[in-house]
Amino acid sequence: MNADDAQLAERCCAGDSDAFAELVRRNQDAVFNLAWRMTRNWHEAADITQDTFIRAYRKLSSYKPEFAFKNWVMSIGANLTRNRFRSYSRRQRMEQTVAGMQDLEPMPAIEAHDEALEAALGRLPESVRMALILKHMEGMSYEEVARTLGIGLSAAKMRVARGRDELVRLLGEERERLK
Amino acid sequence: MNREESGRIHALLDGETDATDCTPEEAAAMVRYRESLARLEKGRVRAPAGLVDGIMAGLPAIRRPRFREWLEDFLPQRRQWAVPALAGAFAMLVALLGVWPLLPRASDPGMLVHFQIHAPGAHQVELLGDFNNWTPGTIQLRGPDASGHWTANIELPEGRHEYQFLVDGKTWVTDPRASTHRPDGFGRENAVVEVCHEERI
Repeated sequence: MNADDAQLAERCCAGDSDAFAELVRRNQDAVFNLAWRMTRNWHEAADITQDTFIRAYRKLSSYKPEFAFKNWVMSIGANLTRNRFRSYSRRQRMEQTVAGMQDLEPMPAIEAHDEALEAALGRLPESVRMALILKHMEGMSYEEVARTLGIGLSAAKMRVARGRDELVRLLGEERERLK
Repeated sequence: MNREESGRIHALLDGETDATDCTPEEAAAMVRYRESLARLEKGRVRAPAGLVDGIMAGLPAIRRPRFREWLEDFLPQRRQWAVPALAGAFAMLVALLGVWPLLPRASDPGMLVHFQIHAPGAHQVELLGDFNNWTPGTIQLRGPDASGHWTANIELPEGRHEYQFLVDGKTWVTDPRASTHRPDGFGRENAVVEVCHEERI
């Protein structure tokens, strides 16, 4: 039987650890993608993903099945990512002060690596980038983006719109530069 | 593009406005937006292989019972108890509030962790980690003692913390005494300390 996430969460609460492994398998890409897009560090993103699911497991009794499990776990992941992102950015600045500019940790080869897209996303502010990723990479509705980030609906729409505008502008500049 | 034009493009992208009556400029802008968003959607990365096993290995072995289930088992099935029970609970609350200032304070949930590094020639050693947001100048180690050791006792909240020592404001040194290390993304390794109070894994 192909159980939905809410059923798996229910089975997990009853002590079925295989059910939780299936929940992780289904949702790990979404959490990892968000964490990687924010930190641009492969190990850090894997670490955030692991912490997110461990935290979700501990808090599973507070999960409400009427909401999508993916959105619930993404809200945990978004909070952790935000905290780590700020800490990591500060550490980066500190590193640059102490030892000069250093590159971020190299990542394993990714399919369809888009250099210009990476650079453009990297220039978006944290809050805007997160909203844009949730809306256009995870296919969330504005209501889901708002709930996941703990913000109002109009703020979610505004962040996504700003992210789109900036992304189009930055990719357009890149296109002009290559002409 | 001004704010009004931009707002119209977003409404078109979200399907809130009918695309049949858009101007040629708006149609051209829509193409640019759709191309950029398609690139974004294609850029989604997948979690590394083996992550599920790592996550499952790190889960706590014991889960706490669900509070709602515990409450359902605890409360009687018939509802006549509600008014006297709530009145009793309210009376208890008032009594507790009365004696609250006299109660001894609960101990702080943090746990004291001892940090130590051997650096006999150093003039200054700092401790930086996620617990102080990698901020220099916040935690200085005391030392060196006669054997060249620098030490600090720091109260840390429950959880996993990563840290390094910064010697003389320029040299990062990981803690060789730590049981776990992980890459810090800058070519070195953070030491890892786990602070646990209860429920153990």
